[in-house]
Amino acid sequence: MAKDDKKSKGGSNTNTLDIKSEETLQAVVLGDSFDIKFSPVTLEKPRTLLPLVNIPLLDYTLEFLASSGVQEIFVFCCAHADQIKEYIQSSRWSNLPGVSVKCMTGRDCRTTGDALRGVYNAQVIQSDFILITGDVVSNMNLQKALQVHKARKEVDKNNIMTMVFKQASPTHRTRSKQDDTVIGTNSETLQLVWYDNSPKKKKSSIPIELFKKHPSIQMRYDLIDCHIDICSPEVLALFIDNFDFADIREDFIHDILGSELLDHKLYTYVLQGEYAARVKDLRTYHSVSKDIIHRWTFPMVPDNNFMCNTTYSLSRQMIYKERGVKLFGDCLISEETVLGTGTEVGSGSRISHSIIGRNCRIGKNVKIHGSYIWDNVVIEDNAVIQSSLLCNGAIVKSDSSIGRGSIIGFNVVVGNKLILEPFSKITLAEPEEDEDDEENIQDFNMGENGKGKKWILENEPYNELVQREIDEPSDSDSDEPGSGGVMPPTKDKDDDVPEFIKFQREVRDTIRRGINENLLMENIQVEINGLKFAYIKDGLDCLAAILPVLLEHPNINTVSAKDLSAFIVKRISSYSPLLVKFSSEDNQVDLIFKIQDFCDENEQYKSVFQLILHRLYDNDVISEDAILEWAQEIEDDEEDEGFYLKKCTELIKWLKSAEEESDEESEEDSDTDSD
Amino acid sequence: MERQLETFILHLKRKNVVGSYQVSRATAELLRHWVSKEKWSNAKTLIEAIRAIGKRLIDAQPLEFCIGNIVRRVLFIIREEYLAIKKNTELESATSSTTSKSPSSSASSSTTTSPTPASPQTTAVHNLSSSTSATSQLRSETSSKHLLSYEDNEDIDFTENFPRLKAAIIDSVNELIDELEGLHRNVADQAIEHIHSNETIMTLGCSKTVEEFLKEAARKRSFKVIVVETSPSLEGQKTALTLSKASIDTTLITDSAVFAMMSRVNKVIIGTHAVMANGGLIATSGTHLLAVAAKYHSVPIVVCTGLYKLCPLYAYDQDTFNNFGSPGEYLKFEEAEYLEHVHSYNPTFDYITPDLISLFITNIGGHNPDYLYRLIQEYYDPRDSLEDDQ
Repeated sequence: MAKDDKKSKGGSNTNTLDIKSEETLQAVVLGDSFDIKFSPVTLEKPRTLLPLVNIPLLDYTLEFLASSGVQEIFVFCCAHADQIKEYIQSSRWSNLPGVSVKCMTGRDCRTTGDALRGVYNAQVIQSDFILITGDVVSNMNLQKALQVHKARKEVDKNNIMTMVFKQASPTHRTRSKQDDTVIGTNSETLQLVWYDNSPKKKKSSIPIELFKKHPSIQMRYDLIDCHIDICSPEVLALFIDNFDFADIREDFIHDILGSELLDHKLYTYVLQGEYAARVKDLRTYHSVSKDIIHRWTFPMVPDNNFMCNTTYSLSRQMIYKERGVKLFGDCLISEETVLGTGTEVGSGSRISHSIIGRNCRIGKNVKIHGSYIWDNVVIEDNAVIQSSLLCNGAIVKSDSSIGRGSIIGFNVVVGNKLILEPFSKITLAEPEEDEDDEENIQDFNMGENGKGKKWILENEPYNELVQREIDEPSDSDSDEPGSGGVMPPTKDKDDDVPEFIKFQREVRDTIRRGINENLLMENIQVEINGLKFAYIKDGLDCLAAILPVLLEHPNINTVSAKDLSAFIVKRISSYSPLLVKFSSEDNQVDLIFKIQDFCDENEQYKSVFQLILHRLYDNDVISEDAILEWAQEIEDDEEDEGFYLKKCTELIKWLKSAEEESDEESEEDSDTDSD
Repeated sequence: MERQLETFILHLKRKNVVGSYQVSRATAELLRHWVSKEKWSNAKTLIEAIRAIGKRLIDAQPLEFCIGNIVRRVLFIIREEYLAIKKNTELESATSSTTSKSPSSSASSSTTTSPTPASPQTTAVHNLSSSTSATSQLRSETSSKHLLSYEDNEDIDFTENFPRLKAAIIDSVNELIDELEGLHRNVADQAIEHIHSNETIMTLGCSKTVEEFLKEAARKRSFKVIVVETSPSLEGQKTALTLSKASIDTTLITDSAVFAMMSRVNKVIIGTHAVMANGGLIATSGTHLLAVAAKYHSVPIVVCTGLYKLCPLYAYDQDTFNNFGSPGEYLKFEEAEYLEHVHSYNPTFDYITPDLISLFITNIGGHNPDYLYRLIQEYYDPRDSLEDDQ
């Protein structure tokens, strides 16, 4: 009572201050990811309840929030909402001192935007709140970030959001390939001024006007977007105003950064020592699991048993075992392994780098490496499992083998002696009716006593549990940012096109640009030389790629023979310096054959074959020896009809006579030639 | 009450309450609160309830040994007070009416006369510890009470209801809390006897007890202190700062320089996380290195600790009671991808065998490591092992 009196005496100013300090800290957890990165697993279970090192993902997020002093948590769920609700009610979150966890459901939400509009309509958010996805693992000091946010807001009301980033190297395993984000911040204020999240593009261009406002901008490509945002209530209001906003990152941020009218500002907060990461896709599931096992997330590690319903203890080599694990005979549990209670491992089995849930039965001589095996899985004798994910209740019959990167859904039975090839995804789930998923599921022979269907929707290559080996070298090479040297400009990059065609395209583009923009001959030459080395080609390849472009007439079908000749004469003489650079004595004969091939393909050029040859000779691209040698080869070749040779008889005769004139000693040669 | 307990468990889990001293005090206060607020009919149910709470607290943070110690101390207090009251009432009833209660009183009188061989030994030791007269007197009183009842309490079932019991228990728990509050002072009071002028002392880590100890000595004597920085937590740096602020001649060295510097050191004075029943230590990692170096140079190692850190458990190797922290303390996460095939371990504790330790200075005086088993018998009841069903 005395306290109350004081308050009223203190007047309005202190009153508001008091209210401020008594604000309950709220957080909104998005229980749905609105994507299908984890399918087919998420057909049956929401992503937030998937176990990460045997503890549901949601628990990590909620524990992080609760231990940072958040008092009120709203879990917004859409897909599988009843499962999430049930889980929260049955777990300790329903009755924990100091924090209340409430569920909100929005059945027809399709996007994050819908969810946030749902939160706004519920009118529960009173002040600054934390917006987080239900799959974040972190041990950061949230209070510090909050203080920074609040201090900024005191100064400028327009600061509506602070985004948390974690520093890592660009190729860090925990940095999802999928958010290849480039971020520009004002180096002094840490205000976010540029956000580019388009992994397909290889470059990011910043409008120059940006520098008017911000004299120095720091561009960063080494950050993990933790999806922890400290937001003002205005953020929700903005989502209401712009009913077409779907995603925070895609729409909201771009809009805020792009609009000049409302002077809203976003800021960044970069973590140095602390840990924060989001389980965004299968790859990050794998890497965050590793981070937990290696204890980067301390104190959120299995042996801290923070949910009070586990009994893990740690022994050397990062082996975590719960009480009540049965290991028979000479089974070998090696490094980085987690074993849940009630699990039995038969003799002769080898387990390494794997996480195994509760009540799993593993037979004799089983080999498991780098895999994630959830609860109640049965693995019979002699099975081999490589880097795969096995959901609850899956059964792997004896002598079968599961290739790396596979996903085995809930209660699937892998039959005896079945060998599953790498990256196969098996599920028992029936697709929802209103979705056109049916094509994605295919009947599949699961072997003797097997049960399951194949899921054939391909994941993006960066979203597999482990890296695909096939296209790794080329892929990772070109993904390497800032790797020096000559990089082929990838305008219409298509991995299926063979190297040579790609090279031809590049050369063609270069020459065309050269012709259209009247570039200096030297520059074109340097560029083609660069391509030559990038694609590991020789001079002949270059010439063979250059000539067709040089010779192609824009209106080849209508042009008269005379005009075409004039065109060719002009082109060859003007570009001869370029051609000379790439021609050498060894490749000239082959070049003539290439030209022959070119004329074969393009009817119009057959008539000007001799002209081309002549012009090349005149411009020192081809020597007379080469032409004569070519003629000789054609003559020797009995199958060749000698069509082109006939075309060139004049030229050859002329050449020969010139030769005789200049060199008397070569009489014998010319004699044999004429025979 | 349950909610308060839950909150405390959460605080323990999230390490909002850290440091042996803070944890112990919080535990003792929680238990006192429980005894006074909760309804319990007799000592037996109370003991059961406290045991259950104790187990939950220990499960929350198994490596904060002092939680278990405090719970055991409280359990011991309950038994002790119960027996004392029971004896008093029996004596009273025996004197007033001799007929009805004769068989039981004769039984109890036989126990009081039963031989108590430990008694002279205990008092002798307390005489040895000359400085802390007040507490040692208190202790010898209670311990003699305990010794009287020790032999027979197997067949006492603690089910009788005494109205006086609650107040007596609360009083004793208050004494325990007072003991905790005063222990830094009590340990520091002995400093003059152990640190002499112009000595060089080496210490490591960050221990309030050691800090107070050195500061107290510095009021009368001038000496040098070498502080080991104790990587990766670098707590030694904090200690060095506080000591130099108290105008003690302080030198900070890296962990790797311990052996090289040891030859010029007269005494190593360290704190500890816990004292095991055999006189071994569970202490900050790096302590083992220091202890072995000191042994090699025959430099005495003195451990300053409150009695509440003494626990009736045995560690038999480095891993039994250990914890591993985040590699982030010494590795950069940014570089972690290069370390994928490297294992990194960041143990929090070292186990130091008793033969490396020369002397314990507790709040009730100095003790040899060999003698600690005796103190355990004196402060804990053997029936109160809380960890046994692991």
